[in-house]
This record gives sequence, structure tokens and C-alpha cells, in this order.
Amino acid sequence: MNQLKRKGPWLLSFALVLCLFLVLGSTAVLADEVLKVRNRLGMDITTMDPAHYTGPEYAIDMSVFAKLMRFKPGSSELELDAAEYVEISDDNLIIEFRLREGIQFHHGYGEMTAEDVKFSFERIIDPEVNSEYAADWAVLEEVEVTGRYTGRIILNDTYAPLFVSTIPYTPGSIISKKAFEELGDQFASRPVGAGPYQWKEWVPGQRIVLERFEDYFGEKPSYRQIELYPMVEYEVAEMAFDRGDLHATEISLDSYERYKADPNTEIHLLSTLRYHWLGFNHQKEPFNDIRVREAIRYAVDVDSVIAGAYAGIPPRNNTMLAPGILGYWEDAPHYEQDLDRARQLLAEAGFPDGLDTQITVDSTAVHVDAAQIIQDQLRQIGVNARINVVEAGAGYETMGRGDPEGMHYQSFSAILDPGYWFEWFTTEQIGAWNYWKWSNDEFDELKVRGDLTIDPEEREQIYIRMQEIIDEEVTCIWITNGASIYVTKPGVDPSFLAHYPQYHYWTGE
Amino acid sequence: MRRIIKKLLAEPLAIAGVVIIIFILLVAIFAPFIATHDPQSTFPANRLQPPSRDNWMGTDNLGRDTFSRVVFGTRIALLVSLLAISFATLLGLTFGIISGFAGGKIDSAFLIFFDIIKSFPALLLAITIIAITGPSLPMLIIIIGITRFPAYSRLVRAQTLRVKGHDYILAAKALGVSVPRIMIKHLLPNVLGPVFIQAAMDIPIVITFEAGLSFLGLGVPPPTPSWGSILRTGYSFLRIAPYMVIFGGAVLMLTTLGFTLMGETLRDFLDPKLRKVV
Repeated sequence: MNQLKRKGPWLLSFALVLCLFLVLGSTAVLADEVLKVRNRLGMDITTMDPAHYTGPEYAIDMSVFAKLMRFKPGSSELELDAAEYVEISDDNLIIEFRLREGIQFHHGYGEMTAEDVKFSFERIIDPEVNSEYAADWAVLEEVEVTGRYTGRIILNDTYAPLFVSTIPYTPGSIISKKAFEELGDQFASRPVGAGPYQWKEWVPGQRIVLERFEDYFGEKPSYRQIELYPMVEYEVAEMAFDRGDLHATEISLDSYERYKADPNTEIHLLSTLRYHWLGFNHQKEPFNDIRVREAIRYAVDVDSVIAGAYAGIPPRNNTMLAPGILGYWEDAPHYEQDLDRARQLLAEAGFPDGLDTQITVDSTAVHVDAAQIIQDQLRQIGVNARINVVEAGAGYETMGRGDPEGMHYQSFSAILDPGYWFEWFTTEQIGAWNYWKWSNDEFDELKVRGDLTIDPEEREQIYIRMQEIIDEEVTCIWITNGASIYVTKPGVDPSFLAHYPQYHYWTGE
Repeated sequence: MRRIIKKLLAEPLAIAGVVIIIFILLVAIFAPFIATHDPQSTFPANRLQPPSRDNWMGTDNLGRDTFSRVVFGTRIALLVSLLAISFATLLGLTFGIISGFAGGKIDSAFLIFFDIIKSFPALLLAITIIAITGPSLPMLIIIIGITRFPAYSRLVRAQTLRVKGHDYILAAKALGVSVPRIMIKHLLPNVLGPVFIQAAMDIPIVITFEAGLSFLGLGVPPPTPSWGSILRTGYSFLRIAPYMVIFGGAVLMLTTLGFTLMGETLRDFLDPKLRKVV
């Protein structure tokens, strides 16, 4: 007893210290500290040259590079970024800008000038650069430098998505001309921009490290350092998050309920700019017959597909564009499963006993799951669909460049501008991204008109008509726009671009 | 044969192995009668349910009955392993006997060929081929057969070298019996014993190899139930619905245990090197 009395204060102190550690370990990620997050898509980057991003780089782009204008954090509204002002001429062909004075590039590469803007934008359309984003700047004639900080972006035609998917997006990233010329090919792994965080380190396959740029022209970034980790499997990322090795990550849809019940986790349920569909090869039998396509439309129970493959989380969408996007077709028809009608349509098309076909799908889990549910549903009308799974990276080669018969299940990501969503359905995309091998003259004409039309109301009508055509032709069956769920530790305050969880603006309390 | 059965019955582990294998075989044969549901029918409203009276092993993420999928998965496991090993054995016997009997440069060429095939990491080779051709049951069997056959070839070659100097082979040669006839009639029966042992020992390896490929999404295409694909799905839901991994893993473990026990016992009886000890 005496021994216990003597040791009592020590035990108490030890217990208090232990509690303190536990409390500190379990709560907020403090600002001024290191923020650890899973990189976009859980993948490693391939290049940090904005002309050649492939996807995992998008979330980093916003931290490293400044743009003339950017989306307000957590919104789809624009605000000035590196530019002090941006003015558009009445004919929408000239954009005048003036940069803020004194903007510094990272790593001592000096002040940002209009020459850097010219260099950054014009190299995207340089055929030698062969940028994946050349189409976004296709209307660019030149950037005329009129002063150290001023310039004019001269266009040869109007282009409605310019202020949606070009200037505030990755093709609008301003890089340091001096750094690019000095570093050459190394720029892709040592990018130099003027954003809130500067490049520190990249250990391929392991981590990407950004550090706070103390001379950033805007509001001081919250974290001393951001570390991004490639972790493809949600399960692995979730375990890392639970252990405290990550402060933020995207999680699987099925983990939503579990994290929702956790008081130490902030959960962010976001709609995504993506469309998921069951498509047909329109150039091959039997789906070159609209009655067969209609039969499938009446045989598929979309709500069940969402309940099974998407954990019932994202809402169904009866059309392509997501709610909130210009041109969203609110009155799109809602098709319910009607097996009798489906059988009747099949019989009319000459398949009274059903038919054998296939569903090609990449190995993305949600796509394979959806394909299996659809396959089971189609058995009820005598359609025996073999599931042809191709490796995730081979989806484009197989379904885009290739020409598999039957059906396919797939999803594409999109951006805030509606024009981009329709791009892949045009005739010129057959043999590339037109997985449906579908062609419609009116649709093609409307696509061009939509890109050139500036008036939002007129554009809206164009895009609604394009969705009507897809519906009339039963080009595909729309499922959903999907959902993304992010979890963060208390104190981490991410903001996501409206609909678009690809961009993060990380701040702390 | 009677001696072997008698000895087997005296070995408790062997009895356990045989009982497990018979049980697995019966499950595979009578799968449609044992399964409580259609293993491919999806019921999204009933997804990720724990074990219950209706679904003895719970349901997967598409609402399919895990018990029925495990039962039908037995067929795939046995089908793939038996066909793949038969294919490997066939190749192994053919090349092994030719190599051993011919000797000289032909033998050396075959040995190099076996070593080349064997030097490829089996899983990597399988992934490469499936990435090109896409996953399918016949392709899976061919790939496993190709990756396993060098072991059989070397074994058969060694046995052939041992047997071909025996008097009865020399006598057959002297009597003018044709080479193919010597190979089939005289060599083959005398090299089969060790091949059977190897095959029995290989079955659990092939079952786990197939499960591994299915786990990677490169095995039997969906929605065909296989133990590997059940484990793969289960892995994604490990913390919210661990039943798929528990039951799928248990059956896989039980089966490999059964074949391993039987293989070990067979080796004890049939391997000429160990026969005297027994």
C-alpha cells in the first residue's frame, strides 16, 4: 500500500502524459503542420508539365501553378488569380489582361510577366509540344505582349468554354518561361509555378512533397508541407486514414455509413462530373437495330444497378449532363423496367428467343459490378451476355480504338463546360473516344454550334436538343453521374470545386 | 493396391485428406442440389448481409448468396486444377520421354527449353498473357499447364534415363520394336508413379494459383463464381462484411489441406526412394 502511495504521483503523471499523447494523436491536424493526403485517383503522377497531365496531377496543379483566373474555392464562380483585371472585347475575340505586379515564381525564378503568360499558352498549341490540351486553346491566334505586365489574348474564333475549361483549368496554368528553358525535360519532374505551394520532392511510387511558398502573392497557405501518397486501393487508404497516416482521402462508396458514424471524421459527399452508361455498338448487329437497343433499355433496372454497384449513394440521372451544368435536361424521360415490352421489342426485331452477346467492361470494380447486375437482368428476356473484362488501362484500346461487338459499360469524367461532355459522341471520334461507334449529322452540327455560341440560353437549348437526340436514338442507357466521398480529420478544411473533387484547396483551422 | 489401401487406413492424416477430397468432390458434383440459390442471381437490395437462415454465409456486394457461390466455386477450382494438371502432365510426359530417350543434343535442347519456361515467374507470365488475350477459362488452363509442365518434363526425363538402360528396354530395341512403341508400351508405365505423386502435390498449388489470378481479376471472368473472385470481392469489404473472406478462405484452406495430406501419403507409398523406408 505504501509502495502504491509512493508511486501514485508518478503513475498519475504517466497517465496524464499518455492521455495528452492520445488526445494530440487523435485530433486535429494543426495548421502550420504537415498535411498527408492520398493523391487523386490514388495514382502516382507521370509528369508535372501542364501540357501533358494525365489525371493524377490535377489535384496538385492548383497548388503549384497560378492562372489568370481561377474558380473560387468550393464553387464554380470565377475570381481573379494572377491577373489584376481581365477584359473581354464585345466580339469575344480579344481578352486583355494585366498581371499583379510582384508575383514571384518558386525557387527564385523571378517575377511573373506577360511573357510567361504568352509562353505558357502558346506552347499548348505548338504542334511540336503535341499537348493533350491543344483543343482547349484551338482558337488561340497569339498572346500579344503589350507591356511587362499586360497582354492581349487574340482569338481567331469565339469559344464558349474558354472561361470554364481553358483559362481556369489546367491549360491555363502559367509556368515560368525562364525555368522551363533552363530545366528543359527536367521541368516535368521539377515544375516551377507561382502557386501557394512549391515543389519539394517526388519519390516515384512513394510520395510527392510540396512545401509552403513563403512569397506567395495570395493568402498565406495553411500547411507548412503537403505530402501526397499514391495508394490505389481504397481499403489501403482507409486503413492508413484510420491509423492517422493520412489526414484526408477519398473512400469507397461502401464505407460511407461506417465513416458517417465516426465522430472523429469529417465526411464530404460530393457529386462528380462523370457519366456512367451502358452503351451499344451501333455499327454491328444486333444493336444496329434500334428495337434491340430499346428492348435493352426496358430490360435494365437502373435503380437496382445503382443500389448494387454504387451502394445506392449517387442519384440516378436520366440524361447525360449533371444537374447544375448548363444544358441539364430536367425533363428527360425516366424509363422503368418493363420486361414484357422488352421481349416484344426483341421479337419484333427478329429475336423472339433472345440472343447471345457480350458486355465489354474495363476492370474498374464499379463497372464490373454494374455489368454483372445488368447481365443478370438481361437473362430475364433471354439475352445472354458474356462479360468481357479488359484490364483498366486497356479500356481505350479495346472500346475506343477497337471495335468490339455488343454492349459495353463505361464512364467518362467531364468538366464544368457542357461542350466537353458531348465531344466523344461526334462522328470524328469514331475510332478514338466514340465507344458507341455512333454517328448523327444533326448532333455533329449542334456540337460545333454549341462551342461557338456565347449566349447561355441559346447554348442551353442546343445541349438539351443534343441529349434528346441521344435519347431518341437510344445511343446508350444513362445510369448516374456518380459520387465521390472524401473523409478528413477534424481541423482539415478542404474545399472542393463545385461538382469536381479533382481540385482541393487545403486549409486548416 | 490392397496393400496401399490398408496402409492408408492406418494413417489418420491420410484418412483425413481422403475424406476432405471426397467431400469436396461430392460438393462439386452435386453443386446444383447443394446450393440454396442461383449463384449468379443478383439482389442489390440484399447486399452485404451477414450469415442468416436464408443466406448461410451471408451475401456479397451484389446481393448474391455467398454459400451458393462457394459451392459452385468448388467446381471451378477442381475443373481448373484437374484440367491444367492433365495438360501439364501430357506435355511433361511427351517432352520428358522424348528428351530422356533421345539423349545427346536433343536432350540438351529440351533441357534449355524447360529451363527457359521455368525461369519465367509463373504469375508474371500469366498476367502478361492474360493482359493480351483477356481472361477466360480455357486460357487459364493453358497458362497454368504451360507454367507447370517443365517440372513434369524434368521428372519424366529423369525417370526415362533411369529406365531406358534396363534389360527389357534393350531387349525390345534388339527385337526391332519401334521407338514410339517402346516409349508408350514400355517406358510410359514405368515413369507414371512419380508423375501421379507430383500431380497430387500440384493440385493445391494450382487451386491457390487460380484463386490468386482471380483475386487479381485475371482468373475466371465474372460472374462465374470462383474462390479467388469471392476472396477478391471480400477483400474490398473486409471491415464491413468479413464473411466472404472468412468462408471463402476457409474452403480454400480445407481443400489445399486435403490434397496436400493425400499427396504426402501417396508419395510415402509410391516414391521408390521412400518405399523401402515405409
